[in-house]
Amino acid sequence: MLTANGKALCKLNSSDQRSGNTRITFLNTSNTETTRDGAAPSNPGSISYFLNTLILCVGTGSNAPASSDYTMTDIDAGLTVLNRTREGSNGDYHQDYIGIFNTTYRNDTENDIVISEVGIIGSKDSGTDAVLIAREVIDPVTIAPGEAYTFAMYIG
Amino acid sequence: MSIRIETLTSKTASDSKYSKNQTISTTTAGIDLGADMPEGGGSKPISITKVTSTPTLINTVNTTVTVEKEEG
Repeated sequence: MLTANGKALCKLNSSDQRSGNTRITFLNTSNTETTRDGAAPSNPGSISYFLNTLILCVGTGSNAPASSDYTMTDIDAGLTVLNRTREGSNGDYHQDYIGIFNTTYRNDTENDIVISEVGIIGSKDSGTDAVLIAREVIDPVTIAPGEAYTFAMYIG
Repeated sequence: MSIRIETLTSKTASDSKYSKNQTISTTTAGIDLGADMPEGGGSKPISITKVTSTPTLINTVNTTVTVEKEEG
């Protein structure tokens, strides 16, 4: 499920950035608005402001995904990030998909961690303006201490 | 003798900067010169048709999640 943020971003990618400098308002993960300006229309990466920072995160929320979602519960849930990769969504728009995102986590705690949601989040700098682009609820995955899992999301 | 000049511009899915199946604009201009020129000279009207579609919000985007346990 793309959030309203993600849909707005798709629309911007497909057309608006060509019509002039762009301004788009996102709802960030703190449920407050954050406004970003794009660059000149000749620069396809104008909205790379967020695109360049998109990452896959996991959480512990279980509410059904909705377009109005703006955040996740307990982002990364205390897991150790071993690797994050991203293909696409880097200003060089791919015609077949928006992005393929992977994150490998390991549980370095002493307790099981149960993951029930996966999302794509974009942020600028410190992440205080992080915005949720997409979110899915999955069958719970229990990660025991010492175990590692790779979560992947395809958007296309 | 007849000379026809025709231009056709179309950007669709082959241009990765646009969404799939999106027609940005199509402009066709045809100019016929010579054979059918009316008696007394002059030129025929130039016909230009322009169609511009406004892309709508992408709502066919799908998301797929996979989970894989790392061994070892």
